[in-house]
Amino acid sequence: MAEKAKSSSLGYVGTHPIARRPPRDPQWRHWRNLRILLRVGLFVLLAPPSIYVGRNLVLFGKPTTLSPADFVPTVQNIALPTVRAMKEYERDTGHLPDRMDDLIPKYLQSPPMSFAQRVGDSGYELFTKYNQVITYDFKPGAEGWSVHGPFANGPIPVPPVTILPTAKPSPSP
Amino acid sequence: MYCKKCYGKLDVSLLPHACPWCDRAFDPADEATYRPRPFPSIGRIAGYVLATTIFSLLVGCVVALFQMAGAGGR
Repeated sequence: MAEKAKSSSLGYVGTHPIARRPPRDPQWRHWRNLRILLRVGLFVLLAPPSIYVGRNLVLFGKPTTLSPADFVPTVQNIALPTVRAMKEYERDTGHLPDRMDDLIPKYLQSPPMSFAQRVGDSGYELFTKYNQVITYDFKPGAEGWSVHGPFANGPIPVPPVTILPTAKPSPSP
Repeated sequence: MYCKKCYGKLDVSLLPHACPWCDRAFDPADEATYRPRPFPSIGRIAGYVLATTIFSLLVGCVVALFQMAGAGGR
């Protein structure tokens, strides 16, 4: 390529910078493809776990996603006393309570810690964090805790509630 | 001999010693000013790893914010 003298309106002096550029050879293209492969490979390897961790840190304050086991403390601290009271009520009366007031004060000394609980003859529900719902199934054979919602679904690893049978059952009302 | 910045091929016969592609200066006597191969150094690869991880974490945060907004709207 012929060298161009100055006197350009662009202001460069001597050889135009483009004229100094050596041609790209096949070896250079091979290395360029390797560099692209490196960048793409790093993104494919690092992006999915990093996005997963970043999402969970913001949503749940921990690097892993929500699981039914994360609701064990909520079950033990809030739901368990109410379900135990419901089972005692069922043992004494032969049916589940229709509302929370049926349990107080005989089966529950004080109102529950959370007001987001629903008690009825269909079972027990506790509306808890992350729009999740903890339920207790009273059906024999399927009895136990489970959680449902947008982030976690499945049985909660807490054993079903058991109560002692009364020595002298009271008559049904 | 290749440019550390843009990996362009360097020509020591041309003066001044600068990359013809990006104008980055180099010294043929100083190995630290050029790359023997047109491929990133370990330090730059580590930078790529760090940058990709931070970028992806931020993407995850944005995804979480959208999910929070969606869950709140239900």
